[in-house]
Amino acid sequence: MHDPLVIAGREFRSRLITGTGKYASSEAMRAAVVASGCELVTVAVGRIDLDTVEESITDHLPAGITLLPNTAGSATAGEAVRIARLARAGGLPDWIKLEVIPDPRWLLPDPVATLAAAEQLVSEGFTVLPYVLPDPVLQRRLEAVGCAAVMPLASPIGSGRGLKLRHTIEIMVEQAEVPVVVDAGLGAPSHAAESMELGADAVLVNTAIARAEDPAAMAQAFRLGVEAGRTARLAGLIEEHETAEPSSPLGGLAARA
Amino acid sequence: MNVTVNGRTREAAADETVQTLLEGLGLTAQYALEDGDALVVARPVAGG
Repeated sequence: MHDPLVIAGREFRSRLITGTGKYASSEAMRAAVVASGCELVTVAVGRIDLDTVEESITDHLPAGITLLPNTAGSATAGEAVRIARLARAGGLPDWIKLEVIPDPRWLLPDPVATLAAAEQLVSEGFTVLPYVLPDPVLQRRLEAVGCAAVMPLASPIGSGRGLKLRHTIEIMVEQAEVPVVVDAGLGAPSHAAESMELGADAVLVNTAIARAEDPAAMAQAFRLGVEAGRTARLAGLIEEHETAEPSSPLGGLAARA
Repeated sequence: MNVTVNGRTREAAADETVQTLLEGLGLTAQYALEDGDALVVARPVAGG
């Protein structure tokens, strides 16, 4: 079945996006990326240390992977815009995962600064995918300024707690004009499946894969979870009922003879 | 003339270009961004 994820007119076969942080080694990261089947991975933008020889992360990624630079480290709109410009100047794609996070404890994004940075970056020709709290009003504002997707968090980054804000994300899915990518807090493949079942267009997973005992196996599990959830969404889930409904016919059974 | 690249100050010749400056530091010019009177050279690193 041809069911691509489409963001800003670009098609992706996989609806799983993975991060590249927190892996024990570059080899583990590469194996997980391959096993995930993803085509889009997030990277941060770092300043080169002139005193040390550093390997490039791109040397460890499989061919055909598209980089999605993020604005990690930004606490203000201005910092995020600067990092995005730096990424583009560095030859990275002008797609940007916009994250403005002033709060180091909960790592929650600043909605006001995110909107301001998004508007600026869109005006400069970036394809902007903002990381946000699940907020249908903010979603509309971000769509209005031209964002290519919105990325609501399921629960705090790295928490692994899953869809704690499910209802609000459901509202976002229902009214979405651009793809909704559930990002952050997904700790298990079942969380990814649940996200897809409720209608998310894609999910982004990092910590749950990178910190697993076997990252490649967990990446494969998330891949299957995403595929299962998407397939179920398209197949049409039954409505929930308060009471039981028998699966066998009530008449003509041997027990009632 | 002194130019600062990623916090390191280096003397630049009058005819020096950004490309030759960065090459002298073992860097590719692809990752340069002017930041006031300094250059920042960045690249992708692991991140989520």
